[in-house]
Amino acid sequence: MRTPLLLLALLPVLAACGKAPAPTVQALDPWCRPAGAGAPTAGCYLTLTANTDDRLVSVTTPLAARVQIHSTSMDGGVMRMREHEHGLPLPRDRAYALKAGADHLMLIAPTRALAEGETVPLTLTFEKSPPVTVQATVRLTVP
Amino acid sequence: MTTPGLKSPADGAPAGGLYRAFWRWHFYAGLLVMPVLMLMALTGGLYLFRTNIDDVIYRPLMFVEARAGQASPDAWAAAALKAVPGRLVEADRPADADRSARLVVETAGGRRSVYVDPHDARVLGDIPDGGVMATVKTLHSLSVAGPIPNLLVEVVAGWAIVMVATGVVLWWPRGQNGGVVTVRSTPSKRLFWRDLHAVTGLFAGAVIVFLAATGMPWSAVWGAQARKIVAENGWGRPSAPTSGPAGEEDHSAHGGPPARPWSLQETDLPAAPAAALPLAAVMRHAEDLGLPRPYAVSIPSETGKAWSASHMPDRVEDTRTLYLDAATGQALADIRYGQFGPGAKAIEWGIAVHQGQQFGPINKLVMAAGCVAVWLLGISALTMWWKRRPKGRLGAPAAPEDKRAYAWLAAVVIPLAVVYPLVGASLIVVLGTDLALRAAVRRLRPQGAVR
Repeated sequence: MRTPLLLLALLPVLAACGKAPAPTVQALDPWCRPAGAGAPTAGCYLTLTANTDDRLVSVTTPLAARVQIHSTSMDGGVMRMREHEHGLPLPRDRAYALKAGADHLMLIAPTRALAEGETVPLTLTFEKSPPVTVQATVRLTVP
Repeated sequence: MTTPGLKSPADGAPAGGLYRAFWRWHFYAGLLVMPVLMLMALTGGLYLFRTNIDDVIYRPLMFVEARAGQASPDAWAAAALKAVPGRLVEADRPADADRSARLVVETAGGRRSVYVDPHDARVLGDIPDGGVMATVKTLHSLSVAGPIPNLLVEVVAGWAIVMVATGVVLWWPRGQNGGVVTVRSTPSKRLFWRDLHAVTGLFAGAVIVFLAATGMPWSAVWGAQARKIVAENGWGRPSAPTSGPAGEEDHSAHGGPPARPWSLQETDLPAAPAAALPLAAVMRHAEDLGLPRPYAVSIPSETGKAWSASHMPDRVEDTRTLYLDAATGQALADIRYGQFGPGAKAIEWGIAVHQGQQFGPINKLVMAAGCVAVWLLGISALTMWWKRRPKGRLGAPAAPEDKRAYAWLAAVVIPLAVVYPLVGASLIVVLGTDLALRAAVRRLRPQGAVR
């Protein structure tokens, strides 16, 4: 008869004593849209899940001059893109999707054309977690 | 007012006040909940073996000739929708080559499961979604009779715990020469049934309490509260993904697909714009991301909402759910047991054990033994009472002279009444009725000779 009480009593204990693991960010399913030669920009997307409150500070790739972290918002019926100047906040244990039509990574001045099937290395730097390098597939949608 | 013949049944010594108080409660609690508890044990016992039962009843739908190569899941969907017109809500891809694929179609007349041979997209047949075991499940939750009986489940589960607790006190050896772990006498004697009841209760008590406690997360009041507390404190599953401008999340339309795990039932599926990809593309991408078969793909009712693909094997540690953007197929979340908060971990584990999945066949057998024990307890209780039934009266144990005995009873019951609010509510109803009845009896018989 003590089981349900124990179960309830255990919840906060478990929550409190589970010692914080090393901060890491899981980067899931990275991909970029194709870009023709000389295109000024290319969009890249992925889903980030941090195990602690963290922040995506910057992104680099050898295939572009630089990478901006963009937010997209609707402002009076107009879609606006803005750079996240202080990086992108990643709430703990929440899958944050940078996806088509919403937040995304913008490759500025790609050094060459990005064709479907290629991969783009992206190195993500975080405030707390160690940097992560992912290989983003170039595609339009899933094949 | 001593009632002649009221003795501790084990050794013939006069019953103590404590014994009487617990016996009285055990008797009344049993009277009220045992019929429902026996129904739940029967249906729950059957449900433990749902896969085996489905395989026997629906054999022609469940199995196909094992072959190499599969038709496209899009062909499965097209064939299923041709056979049963409606909206596709779920597609289950089997792991074994001799198993059929199941496609759930929502029609005007309810959901139907259409079984398709995955090798050639031939429709094998269709049944109401869930088939016979779905009915068994609604009987188990009493929701077959509506939302109010569904609340009763919580009351019964709570009182089952009270019965085990009071039963242990009654079982507690008081110097008798048996009936502790052994059964004395023969079935013609009451003593045999008393011992059978006590010994069964002793061995099965822990399983019954476990089943009652781990069944609570499904219940309407306690379950909803627990889910809320778990979600609010971040003890649940990681949240479904967010994206874009804050507040973009869609909080309309609940009623998620049936394959969603317990702790996700509070979470809305994430939103995404534009037309959906074909089923085959979604399945291929889920498998590219390492989702093992079998898995169930849930197709949202609104375009723009994310798809989910869930791998739900027996062991809770191996469960995995992917959320995929409907338009691009991008994985929006990848949720595994390891990422759950402590609340979701504890409760989902409890559910897996409750359903006899977590530890393989032994797990099923232990839970099934608990169900059989409930029947043994019910039958032995009834026989025990029958063998000593008084004429024209219920024959409930008399209330103890020493009211202090109730303090101990309260120490057992009140914590349960606090943890399980419906147990508390039913307790108040029962006490109120009892007081009113006894007042009425006392008025009828001023001598107070009747309890």
